[in-house]
Amino acid sequence: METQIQLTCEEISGKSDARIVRFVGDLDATNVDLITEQIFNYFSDGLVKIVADFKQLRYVNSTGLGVLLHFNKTAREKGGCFKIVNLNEDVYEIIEIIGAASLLDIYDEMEDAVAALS
Amino acid sequence: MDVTFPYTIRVKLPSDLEVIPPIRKFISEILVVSGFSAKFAFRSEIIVDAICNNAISYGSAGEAESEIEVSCEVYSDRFEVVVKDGGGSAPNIERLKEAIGARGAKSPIEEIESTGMGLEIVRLLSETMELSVDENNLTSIHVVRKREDVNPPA
Repeated sequence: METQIQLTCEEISGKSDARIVRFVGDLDATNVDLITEQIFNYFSDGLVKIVADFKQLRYVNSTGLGVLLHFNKTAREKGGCFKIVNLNEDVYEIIEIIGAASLLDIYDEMEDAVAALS
Repeated sequence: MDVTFPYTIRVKLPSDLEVIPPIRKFISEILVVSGFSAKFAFRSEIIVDAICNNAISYGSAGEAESEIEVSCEVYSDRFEVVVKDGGGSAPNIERLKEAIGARGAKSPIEEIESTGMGLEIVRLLSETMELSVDENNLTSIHVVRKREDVNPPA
């Protein structure tokens, strides 16, 4: 049984290739496969611009961090983006400590992330 | 809560990734009720997660009934955790030694695979991280993380 995590998806007005995806729970080795499948399904459907809302994501371990980097890279390769918003302080510090903050597209405010979608 | 330090938590668990979330959360919560800060508890949770993940992924040699042992010593000024695995293969032990030997090659973070990244995070969050391997290829990783928020008692 994997750690509890849920994704919900919301359309963004005027941007047919973009979605806000809200993460709720913990992201770790027990559920990265499930999350990867869902995000790659979005990419396959042409939804290559993702704004990931982490407001209710409590925890990300190294495996989860690895898949976030993978999503970011894959989205860019497909001409899109993987923007992260509302990251909690504890998770942000781990990302920063490992040196990944500059590799990810991180925003404080949802409206800024959405506005930055090209 | 009045806590008498040091105290020990020791559990043996099936070598299965699914045991990690409950044990990491349990240890994190125990640290909070023992007076450690939420940030200390969160970072300790990350450490426990990474070394358990490592022990299960690389230390069990594919045996269905293997176990890991997680031992935590909680002191007033630090947290120590030792995770022993069920016995890794020689190539995995070599891989582990390389990962623990710091990022000698300074690989870009996006090129480090997840176990390497986990151990790198542990290294960055802890005072010491030591690997020992006995004659039966049973490996253990010992991590010490010092409390940051208070001065230890004299």
